Amino acid sequence: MSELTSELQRMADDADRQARPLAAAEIIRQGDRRRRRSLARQSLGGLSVAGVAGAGVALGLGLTGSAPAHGTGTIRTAAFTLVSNANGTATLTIKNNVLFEPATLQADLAQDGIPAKVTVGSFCSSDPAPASVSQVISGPKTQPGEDPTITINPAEMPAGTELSFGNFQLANGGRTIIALIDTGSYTCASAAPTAPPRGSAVFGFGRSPS
Amino acid sequence: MEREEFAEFYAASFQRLVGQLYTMTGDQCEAQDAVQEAFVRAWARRGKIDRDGAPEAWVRVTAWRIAASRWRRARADTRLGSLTARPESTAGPTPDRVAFSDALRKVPAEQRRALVLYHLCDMTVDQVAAETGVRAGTVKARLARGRAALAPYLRETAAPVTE
Repeated sequence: MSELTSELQRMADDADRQARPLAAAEIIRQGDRRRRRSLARQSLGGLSVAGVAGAGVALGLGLTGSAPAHGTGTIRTAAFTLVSNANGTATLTIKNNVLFEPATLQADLAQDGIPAKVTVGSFCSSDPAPASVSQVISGPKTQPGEDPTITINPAEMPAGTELSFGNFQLANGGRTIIALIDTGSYTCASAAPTAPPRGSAVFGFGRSPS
Repeated sequence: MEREEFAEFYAASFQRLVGQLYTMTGDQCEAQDAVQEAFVRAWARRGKIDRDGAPEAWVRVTAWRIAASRWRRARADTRLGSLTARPESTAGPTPDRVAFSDALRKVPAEQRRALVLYHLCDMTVDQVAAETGVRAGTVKARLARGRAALAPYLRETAAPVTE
């Protein structure tokens, strides 16, 4: 094996050790949704698709009201929607292309019983992480044309931990890194980590439209 | 391809593909994101993948296109990977390895892709040409230029490119 091959292999090995794949069932579910949408678009035709797009714009305007609307277990702001589910989980949808106010999101998560540290332009983490964030958060990746949604189960958070949301606006779009941190021991860095820390998850929140 | 077979394919190849995409793009997050999205598309278009008979190559090519498409939208920069800062702390890399990684990030994206396919994926020049959609001569030129750029960071003299 040449030295060049060895160096490339070492880099690849480092990366694949840090990779945190979604469950295969989730990939399949998203693939099924993509296929259904594709088939629907084909059957609707151009005019109907334009109508759907128009409806999307109207919905977007409806969500960008200045005052959060609390009640019926749902909090809506211009940047995100947080729904309290009957089973104790919360579903968070962050709108693409709308910068969220970290203090507002942090307060609203707390209202739903989810202790969190939400930061923009920095990310806080514990080393080692107290647990993998995947035991607390589930959800699909971003689908083209849709806002990313995750479901948070605070009952799965170990005692003495909180969720760390670190949002970065990079040249190629928004990134939010989410990890569980030990409330008594964590550090914050202002640079977006190239590799997600062990036990964290990365979401393309705020990404520019295709 | 049925669900179970796809799940096995995903489990067996996801991390390997992230590693390959990472060496091509220089960005761990982007690599993982692009590979995941490529697998979603793979399941949605599994009929086509069944006909092509090379699912891993299909996912790799699709992931590369996803990453390259995002890169093109990032108009502020000129190369994949150069947007990304290195981690502030990395677990124990030697200075040589850090220098090699930095040098690789500076290699133009298509040269880097050719290097990864040829050296890491163990493809022939013709196979690299087929996957990247260029002629074999172009692949050879990219390999030669990429290896020349990296040579100062390697102790050995690079072996010549073979068919």
